[in-house]
Amino acid sequence: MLCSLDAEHSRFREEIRTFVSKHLPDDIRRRGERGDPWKRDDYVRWQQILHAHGFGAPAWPVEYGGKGWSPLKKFLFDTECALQNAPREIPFGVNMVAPVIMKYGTEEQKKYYLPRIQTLEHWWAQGYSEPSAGSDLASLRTSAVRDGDHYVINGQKVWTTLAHFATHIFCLVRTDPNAARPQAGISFVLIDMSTPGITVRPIHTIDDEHELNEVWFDNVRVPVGNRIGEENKGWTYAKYLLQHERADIARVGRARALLSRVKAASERYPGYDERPYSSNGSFRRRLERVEIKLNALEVMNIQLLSSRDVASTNPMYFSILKIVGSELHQEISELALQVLGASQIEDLRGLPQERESDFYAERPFQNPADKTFMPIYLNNLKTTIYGGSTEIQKNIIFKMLTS
Amino acid sequence: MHLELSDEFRSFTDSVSRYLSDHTDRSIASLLPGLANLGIFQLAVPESVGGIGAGGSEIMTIMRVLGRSVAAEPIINHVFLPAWLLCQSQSQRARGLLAEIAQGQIPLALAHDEPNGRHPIRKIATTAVPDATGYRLCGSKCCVIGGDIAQLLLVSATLENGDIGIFLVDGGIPGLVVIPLRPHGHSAMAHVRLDSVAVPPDSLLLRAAPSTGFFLRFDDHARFLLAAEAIGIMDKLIDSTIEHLQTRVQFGRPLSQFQALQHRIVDMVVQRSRAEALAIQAALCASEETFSRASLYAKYYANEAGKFIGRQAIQLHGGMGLTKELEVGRLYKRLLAISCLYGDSDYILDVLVS
Repeated sequence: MLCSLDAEHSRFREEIRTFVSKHLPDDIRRRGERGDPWKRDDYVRWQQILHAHGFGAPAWPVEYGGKGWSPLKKFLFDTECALQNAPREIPFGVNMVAPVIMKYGTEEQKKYYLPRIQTLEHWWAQGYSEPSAGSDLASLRTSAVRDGDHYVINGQKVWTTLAHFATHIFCLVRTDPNAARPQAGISFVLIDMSTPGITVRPIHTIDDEHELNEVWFDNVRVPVGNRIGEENKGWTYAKYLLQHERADIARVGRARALLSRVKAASERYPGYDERPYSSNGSFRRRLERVEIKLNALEVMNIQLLSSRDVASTNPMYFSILKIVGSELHQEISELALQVLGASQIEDLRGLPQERESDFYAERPFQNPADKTFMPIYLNNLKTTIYGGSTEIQKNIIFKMLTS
Repeated sequence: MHLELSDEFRSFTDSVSRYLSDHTDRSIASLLPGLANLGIFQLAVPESVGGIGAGGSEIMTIMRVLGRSVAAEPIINHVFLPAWLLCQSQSQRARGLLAEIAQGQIPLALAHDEPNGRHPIRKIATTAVPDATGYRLCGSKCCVIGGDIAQLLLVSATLENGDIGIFLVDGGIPGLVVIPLRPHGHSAMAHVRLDSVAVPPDSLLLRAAPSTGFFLRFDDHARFLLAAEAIGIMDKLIDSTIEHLQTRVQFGRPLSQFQALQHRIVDMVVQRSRAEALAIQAALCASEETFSRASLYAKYYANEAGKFIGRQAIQLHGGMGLTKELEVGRLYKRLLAISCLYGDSDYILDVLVS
């Protein structure tokens, strides 16, 4: 942002910047800088460092062990972490299921789950989408049939991010197949992944990374006490959940971190002539266009979050952020491919480590971290599809405009 | 301005399509012999050495058919591009190799690219220095498609007087280091290092001064082949996306009933029409000069329309479009690869401006 934040927030950002640079372990930082995927343990270690310093869930209310940060502070925090290549926050626990538990959970549920979410002892996954329920989420079919003190759950969830790391999953399940409206027969349940009958299968994606999964439920018995709130009211809780996880919906820090990697690479790669690619006019113009868009996104995000009452802000603006943010991520990663030029067709992830130094000696302009540009590009294709596709966001925006 | 095809050729392409839909294994080891049996290799070889010597219309048509079935890339890299180079040579060895290609013998791999990041390459840093027994080749070559399986490589190198030479190099020769790499959007690829590889004098198949425009003509030919392949991929992506929209039901009706999505499909078709027209124009250009410009135009629009259509196809397929279960993602990756080979759009605009 070109204009400055107010004194309080500038100071806050400075503190966070210093904190992250002091406490982020070197090996984790290096993996981030190289663009290599973080290991499960990296996420857990970083979360526990954050927790030890009171930053485990800083946006939570103080009574639950948080710091009661405003959405703007949380955004500044997320951005600083991303800029310094810290592992991204796993949102499913801290940002998604936790607010639902706080608002609709029993005292027992709060006492058991919330502290374990803060330390990532419990790693949550989100069980929403199904093969035939994507954009039309309310058409979901995974069934939960009451049997004494248990629900017996059968069905399949899909696109479950990092379910192979998860200890728990919150699911929308159908408890009343005969409800008048599809939204009316859904319940919200908390499930321990170690319960017999759960199978996690990887989804093989075109970026050749393992992030997404299918989660199958075969007669999985879940105590009725693991339900959130009332039976058949799950849709209400699900919608409440979607209102959270919005402060950093556009992932501004990640976008900036990637753009700076792209710029650095453009100074190394040869252009069409003898000069570095960074001096190519078409590229420079494209880069400036992206800079302007990124700047606009950051300003939009901060404006929105610094409005007096964020919670009652028209949700239309978050949909706009989602569209603008996801398209920008795709544009930056397309720029990354542009920098790689023809070498983008080589997948250097398969190169044995002992051959690396020898191999790159012949290509002084190339850096091992560049091998992640293509996977990042392919992975970012999902951003306009997940979390409510761009088409769904446009429907929401138009509805708001005309209601 | 229409492709000129005989009935005989039309029924030939039908048989190729049928073969490709019956045989879905796309590994080179399985694909190339099958296509060789059908006689596709003969299209790349002149009649004088046992081929058919196909014209632009036939090449455009067959590339489109192959592209649609994800089968064009090895044919371009192992058959059409090597054959084009060999046709420029007067040597007996080159004629012999062409005759072998016409009979379905393979595979030749092209080791022309060098690790400089951008396509097409302007300067060959690999050198060929004469010695008592022939030449010594030194340098490194990247993006050698099929370099890990090829028995013979066609290696470009700069000679002492500045000419570029094309050498025939045995894949197993001492000093040749082949590092197989996983490719994005290709069948197989390698990085190849030549550590003072000794080759006999007759391995130099042809030489040309850079000023003759020899390599520009080679690039033009490659651009035309890739543009034609890209049209075939667009055909397939458009068909699959329409089919998906007609079968996928959300909110109680097929996606194809949503007007916003109908328009997206139409946008894809509009983009393809332009790309197709330009590729056909290149196919019909007889003279070298007009062909050069036509191939640049065709490639430019294949790049642009290809990326657009691929993006739309993935978005409209939703999450499924990002899985390896469907072909959409693989086709898109191939379109991305095509868009950066033998001239990306910025490069082409630069050439046209100058």
